[in-house]
Amino acid sequence: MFLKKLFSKKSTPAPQQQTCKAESCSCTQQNGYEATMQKSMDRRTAFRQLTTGLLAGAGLLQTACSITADSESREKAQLKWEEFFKKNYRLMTDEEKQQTVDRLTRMYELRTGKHINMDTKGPVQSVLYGYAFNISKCRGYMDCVNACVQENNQDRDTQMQYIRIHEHKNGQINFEQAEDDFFHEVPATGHFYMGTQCYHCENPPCVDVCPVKATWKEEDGIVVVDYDWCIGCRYCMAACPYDGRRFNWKEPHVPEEEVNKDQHYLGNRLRKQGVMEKCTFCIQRTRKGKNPACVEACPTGARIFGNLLDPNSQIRWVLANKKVFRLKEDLGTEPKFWYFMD
Amino acid sequence: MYRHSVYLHSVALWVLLAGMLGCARHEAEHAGAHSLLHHIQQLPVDTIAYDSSLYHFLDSLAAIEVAGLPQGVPSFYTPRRLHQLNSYPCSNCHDRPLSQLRKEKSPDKKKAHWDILLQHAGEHIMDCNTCHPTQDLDQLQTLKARPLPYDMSYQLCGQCHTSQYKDWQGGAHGKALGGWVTPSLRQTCVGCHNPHKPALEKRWPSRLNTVKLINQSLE
Amino acid sequence: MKNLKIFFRFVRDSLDVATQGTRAYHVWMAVLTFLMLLAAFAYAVQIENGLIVTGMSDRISWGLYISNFTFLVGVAAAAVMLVLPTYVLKDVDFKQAVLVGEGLAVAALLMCLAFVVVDLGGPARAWHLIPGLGLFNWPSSMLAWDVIVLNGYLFLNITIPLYILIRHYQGKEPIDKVYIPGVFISVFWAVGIHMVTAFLYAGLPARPFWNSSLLGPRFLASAFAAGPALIILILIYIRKFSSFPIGETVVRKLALVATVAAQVNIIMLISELFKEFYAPTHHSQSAFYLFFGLEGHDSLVPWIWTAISLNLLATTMLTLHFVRNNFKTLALACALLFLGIWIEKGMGLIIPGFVPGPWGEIAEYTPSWVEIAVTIGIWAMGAFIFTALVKVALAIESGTLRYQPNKHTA
Ligand code: SF4
Ligand code: SF4
Repeated sequence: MFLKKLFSKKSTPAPQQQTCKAESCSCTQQNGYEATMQKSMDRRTAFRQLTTGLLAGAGLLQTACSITADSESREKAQLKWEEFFKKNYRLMTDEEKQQTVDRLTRMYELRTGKHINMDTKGPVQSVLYGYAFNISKCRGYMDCVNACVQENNQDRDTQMQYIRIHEHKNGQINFEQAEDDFFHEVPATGHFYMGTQCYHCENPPCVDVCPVKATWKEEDGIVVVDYDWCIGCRYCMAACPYDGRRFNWKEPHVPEEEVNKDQHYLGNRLRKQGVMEKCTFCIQRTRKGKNPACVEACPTGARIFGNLLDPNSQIRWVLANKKVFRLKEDLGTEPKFWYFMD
Repeated sequence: MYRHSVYLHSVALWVLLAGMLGCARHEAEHAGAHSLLHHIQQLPVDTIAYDSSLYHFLDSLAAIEVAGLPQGVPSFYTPRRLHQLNSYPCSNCHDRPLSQLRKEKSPDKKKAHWDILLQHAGEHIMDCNTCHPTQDLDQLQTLKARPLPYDMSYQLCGQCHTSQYKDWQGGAHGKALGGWVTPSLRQTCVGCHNPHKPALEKRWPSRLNTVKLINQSLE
Repeated sequence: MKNLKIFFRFVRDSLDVATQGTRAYHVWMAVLTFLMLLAAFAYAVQIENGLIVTGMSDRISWGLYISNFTFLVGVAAAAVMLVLPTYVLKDVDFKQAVLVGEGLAVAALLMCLAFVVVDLGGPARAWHLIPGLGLFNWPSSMLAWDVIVLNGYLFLNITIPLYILIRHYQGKEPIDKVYIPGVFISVFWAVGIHMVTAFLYAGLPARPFWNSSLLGPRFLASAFAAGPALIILILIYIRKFSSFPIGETVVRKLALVATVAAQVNIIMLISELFKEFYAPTHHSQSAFYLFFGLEGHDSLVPWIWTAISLNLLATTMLTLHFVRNNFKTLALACALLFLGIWIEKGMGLIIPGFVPGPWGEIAEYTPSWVEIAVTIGIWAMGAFIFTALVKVALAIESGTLRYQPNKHTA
């Protein structure tokens, strides 16, 4: 009972920041109808042209310079133009990072009239994140999956999920025999559950293969994707031995009221069509000291997260005192994700 | 590069031959040959403390530091139990011995604790008295009949569930509240398990797993 | 200045040749154009809605496009089988045919690049691949290598024939010193493009079906079978329908190359089958899926058996002298071989790599109409380019097209 109360207390979103900047205050007057209009306008003018390959540049420039377009759509076209030609995140100076964040928040504001917070917080010194998963504790509740989808703004239409929960029969860990689509009360008698997701490998094969360095491992061990740099070749998806990556086969859709507005550039900001995404250990939370959403949501305590470099951390205690194992260790990927049993 | 590593190897060899400590350090420099874990243990360490907001959080939960941790186990906090008990102090009603209360013909008597059905280890092993001393119900009691405050109920559980208790103290058992930084906050035993009926029940998953299943049910 | 003038005249004359022809030629080019337009429409649909309109999914994330890409790299690489004897071994017989091979390489490479681009989720951001402008993950990513080697090979295969043609266009002989080094590079490069493409797959321990050291050699063997097979078909066609003299010996020698390569390919196939099925491990699941189907999912089974039968049949036919020496039966055998390898190296190689998935999920893949339309369109584009290139090349080589410095420009 208490637990429930605690959750509800924690899951009520922090009061929305109403610090609407002076220059952007027109947004508050925009009603739903206008917003919808804006959206369709937007699609017609800029976005379609943007995605239409080689014509993108010309089309945008035209809109940007056209005197007939109203100032707002001109601003939009301008922003998109600048966004299109920005650098890879890793090459940006702090100032450039701030500029792209400003553009992205402004674009969201123009589109929906709402404000988002976008973070570019870098890795904390002497932190290397690690994760442990207790297969005796997991009961297949799927609360983690829900929390993850909400936290990370995943496409609702295709039900994209970073986490999979596999139901194994007692007596074997055989993923080919495991059931991922269980539809009954859990835990089912004679079964146990095992969650998989991106393991944030220390030797990530997905990173090596990317032709444009759109994905990399941060100093704190989190493997991230620059959604604006990825060209969508899906080589990383083929290279990941753990099914850690998800692709946006269509324009992802999150209902505006469900959008998590506390975002990180490398984390849960809204993605676009044709780019790769994946678990980021909730970079927008963990770099601020919180636990990832899945850890927070799991009611059983099966999920343990912490700093591998801190000898006093929970995760280090688990590694030192429990019998742990990792999956497909023979591949040499060194996942920072361990399984253990009571 | 090659020369460098040859040099390191010979240094390591000499150090080893001299039977001195510290050869492990030299070894660690060839990180590639070692496991990730080994590598991690050689890296500079730090315990990240969180800013004040977490302390507010601890306050709001009225968390207290867990007592009686073994040597070397890092300290952590747990929510206070007393704040969750509705009719504490128990002595408000239990101001006379239980035998006397039983004799009285009060109308509420039957209703008291009607919702508690003890399903814990079997009747022949445990009854109310195992944990609640009849003489002082404001506290719990250990198996040795020593009083124990409600806020330290975990010690009571730990008397029998020793392996779980050890895991909980270390961090392998029990739900983490708060963040991954210190001070760390963990749910206490009775935060998740009803002490009178500790086994968790089955329930429906909070969502269906995959698109596939949804599509199937739509067809 | 003069050279520039010659070059412009060359381009104009070539365009003239390429745009004029018999009625059949025009019909052929019109049909190809129509197919390309259809593909453009399908591609527009794909751009608008995303790759969701293809049959691909998170489970099977590469499909028909990448299959065709892989196969066509082989076709492009096969040009070396004409280049090597002509320029390096100085085999005069091949001289006539070599430009056909190079034209084929150019067309195949352009098709490869097109297939890669249509497979991208964000083609507008493809400029991130350009070294200097974008950020190129070289030498770590095999795909980056592939971009380099494909474009390099394309460059070689455009410049060398262009140089030779321009010289011939002026009625001069090409100077060996200028182009022979390029030829030597291109011989190694041809092997390189196919090896690199094989490494693209073989370098993924995550996909045991591809992670085999035999993949590279097997790619080469099948390429040197399928490529010459296609060239033989084209040469036989040219012999039959044009006055351009192509010696019988060229076709015979090429047939021998295709035969040996096909035989080697079969040996490697047997070796792979043995490894997968004699002592099956967990890693043999993909092969089981391909050849027998897994848990009722068997959409590839008929295809692969067709491919294997075609390969076996064609290889046997080619091995028999009387079949190989008769151009009619030879053409049939080559067509069968080409088709067999197209299935085997395309869909038969790419799709099973993804089945079962990392956690044993089994999914099936069927290309959507968009994918099929775009694929047909790209093949049409290849055929279009090839036809035009060969038409010009033959006109120059047969001497009908020559630089006339004093000709009035209309
Ligand atoms: S699990 Fe997959 S996606 Fe995650 S880091 Fe490892 S290889 Fe990359
Ligand atoms: S899909 Fe994106 S992140 Fe993955 S390899 Fe291709 S460009 Fe890199």
